[in-house]
Amino acid sequence: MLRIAFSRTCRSMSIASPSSVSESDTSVRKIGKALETYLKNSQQHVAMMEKHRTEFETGRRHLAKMMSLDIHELDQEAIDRAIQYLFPSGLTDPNARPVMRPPDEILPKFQRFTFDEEGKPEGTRFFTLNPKIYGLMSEIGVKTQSVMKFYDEHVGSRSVNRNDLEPANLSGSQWITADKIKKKLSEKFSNELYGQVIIAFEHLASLPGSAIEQKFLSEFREPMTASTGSKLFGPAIPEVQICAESNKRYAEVTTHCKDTRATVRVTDAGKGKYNIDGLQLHDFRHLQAREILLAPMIISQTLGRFDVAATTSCISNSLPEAPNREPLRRSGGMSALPRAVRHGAALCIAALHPESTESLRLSGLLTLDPRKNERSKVNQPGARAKWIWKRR
Amino acid sequence: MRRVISLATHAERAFSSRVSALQKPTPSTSSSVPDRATLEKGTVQPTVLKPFVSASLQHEDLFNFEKLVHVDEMFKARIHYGHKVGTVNNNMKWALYGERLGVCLFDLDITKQYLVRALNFVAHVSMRGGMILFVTSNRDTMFDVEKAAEEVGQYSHVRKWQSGTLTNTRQLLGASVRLPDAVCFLSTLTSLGENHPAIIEAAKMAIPTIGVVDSNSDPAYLTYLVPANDDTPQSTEYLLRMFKEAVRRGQDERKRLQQGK
Amino acid sequence: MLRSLLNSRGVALRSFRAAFSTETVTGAGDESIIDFVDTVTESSEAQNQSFASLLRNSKFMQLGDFNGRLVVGKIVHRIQEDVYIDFGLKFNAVCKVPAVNAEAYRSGARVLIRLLDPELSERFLGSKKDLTLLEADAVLVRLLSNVPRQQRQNQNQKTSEVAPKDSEATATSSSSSPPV
Repeated sequence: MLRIAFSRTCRSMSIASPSSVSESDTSVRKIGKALETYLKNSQQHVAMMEKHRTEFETGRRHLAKMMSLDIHELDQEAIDRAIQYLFPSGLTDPNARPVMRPPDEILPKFQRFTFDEEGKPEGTRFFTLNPKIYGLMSEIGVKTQSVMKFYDEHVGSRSVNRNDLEPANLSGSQWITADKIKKKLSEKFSNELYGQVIIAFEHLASLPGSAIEQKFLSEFREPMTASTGSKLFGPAIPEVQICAESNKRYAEVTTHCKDTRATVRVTDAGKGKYNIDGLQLHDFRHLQAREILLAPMIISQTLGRFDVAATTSCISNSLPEAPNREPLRRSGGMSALPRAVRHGAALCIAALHPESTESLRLSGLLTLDPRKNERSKVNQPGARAKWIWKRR
Repeated sequence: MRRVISLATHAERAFSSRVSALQKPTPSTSSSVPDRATLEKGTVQPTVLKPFVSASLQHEDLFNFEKLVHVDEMFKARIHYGHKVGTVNNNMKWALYGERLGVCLFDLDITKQYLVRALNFVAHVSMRGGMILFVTSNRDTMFDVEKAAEEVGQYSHVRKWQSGTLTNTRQLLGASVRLPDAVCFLSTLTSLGENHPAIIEAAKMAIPTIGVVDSNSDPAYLTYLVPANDDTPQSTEYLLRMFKEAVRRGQDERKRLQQGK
Repeated sequence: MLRSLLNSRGVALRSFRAAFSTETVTGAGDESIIDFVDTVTESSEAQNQSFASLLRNSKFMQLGDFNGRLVVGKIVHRIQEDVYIDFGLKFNAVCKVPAVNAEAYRSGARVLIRLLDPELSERFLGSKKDLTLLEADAVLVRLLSNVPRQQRQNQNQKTSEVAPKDSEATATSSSSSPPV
């Protein structure tokens, strides 16, 4: 008989401790070597995490003092702002910039296994190293077999619903992404395995008679509309909402152009009115600005159908500044403002009037313009310009 | 052949020493522990250690599988069909009855003898609470193997074998885990006709293996051989049924011993 | 020709024919058809026959030379236009479905095939062993019988109820190879 006596410290482990701990002095104190190492590593990990957590807490207090904030005001957002101010970084990759986050979020997780009292790992496919995803593949395989059998048995007979002998109806949806399957199964796996799963799914869905597994298949499908957002550069096409007061459809999106950020709201069944920070279309004196503002309606041939309301702000003003310094008051450029509104309005029209999405996309109105004012360099008058060189 | 048997006894002993903590101390063996000289001699001539092995392990057919395995059932399950004679492995000729118009045929009397031994080994492992990993690379029977392993609470691996699964668990899983106590191959060849990589890995980790070997398989590095047809679903189904029964008998015996204590 | 071959084997063979019921003789000229699928799964009277006698009395030995034999097989699997026919030996035969009456070639249907080779294998230049395709070579001759409706229902009941010992007797374990 194997009796395992655990020390108190490992009570947080997910192992079911045997009921007979009280008999530990009489029974054999034996434990598998593998399990022993696992327990040791687990304890080490717990101790390390504890250390890092206390370090983080002390660091937070120091930071609060440095930024002259109360410790309770210093939430994660405030920490991020402070770090951005204290350690300004021009590194392009956001992952390479300095961060300060709770250790539980950033340190590698310790993989916990579930064992029974004899140290046997749980799950019949444990040794395949990817038990969950292989389990899913087996499930698909078994269902494939049963679908084939079902079709062979019932083809030509009238005892079943004719629709059941058709392939599953999966139009308007697509297979969920690898990340979503990973989240769903809570297991990591390689892209190669994801490809195999999708091939197996495709095979099952293509079989006649797979309609009986429609429910299973649709668990792993997602609506196609979510994908168009990923194809566009910049913000995705927003969802259509319904205004509670006027009962009209509307869409709202936030976008930017150069230094101007614009939140645009387009309402259906309107009169073609514009309200941009209180300005109407005719308040824009420049003809180019009016043309820009009207462009999405002209292309989608919906002039006079939508009302556009937009509020704009300057992006530079929202960037963090030193707490002791008066923030700069800048304003976005006048030519960028209509372009930011145009992009937002085009996205909203694409949502409210899906027939024109393709023509809007082809004319480039759904694409974000990512260009920014280039920073000026030290020892130069501008971004590229140089002082005139002169021999002494 | 002799090498295989010596390997088998060796592995059996290795296993028995590993699980000796599980075993009930039997009066005949607890009194005697081999001294150093005997142990040294045993490394060359393992048979001298036989008196020190527990009585239950000395029994040839403790779980009485001789009654369970019938030649005519095996015959009906098409166990006796081998491959074409052109593909035969030289080390498998001992298990063949002969060839019929170019088709190899297994001698089911030999197969029965080996199957009974393998089943006894499985039951012994199961009786001591061991873990058995069922492995196959045959796509026709992979789901049956998985299902059978799940039914008896054992482990299965019917997918692509990642090298190091047994030898390098620490790196692959992030922690050392208990390895299976026996690996059972329902087919030892991959679809390309190469040996399954798990055979070598199990041998490296001194894990005893049971292998269903067809006439074209390579029996090297396998501890317990079952010469049989590994391609036909009916044949695999029969063998799985036998292995399941062996595991169950071992588990029942274990339950009985635990309750009796 | 087949017929003459069989006749030349004499009395001994005929007694086997009597012992193993060949109820599959469906028409004139089909006497030489050998049906493995049923006889392989039918329960034998003698429990303790030795392997040698079992083999000697088996259909496999009666078959003689494989080449050109007519045997009865059962479709176990169909992938689009390929049918996998289990005829009682080690490997399934893979045949193309004929254009006429293609829908009837479903799994469970019994077909007549002309066996060419029980295992397709070939030795390539430079290798010491044959390379095998793990399938038999045969030509589909014609359909013997569809799956009757009653049998279908029986099958359904059987697969759901019977103990493992009997399930082997149905011998219709689907051998599919899904792309997983």
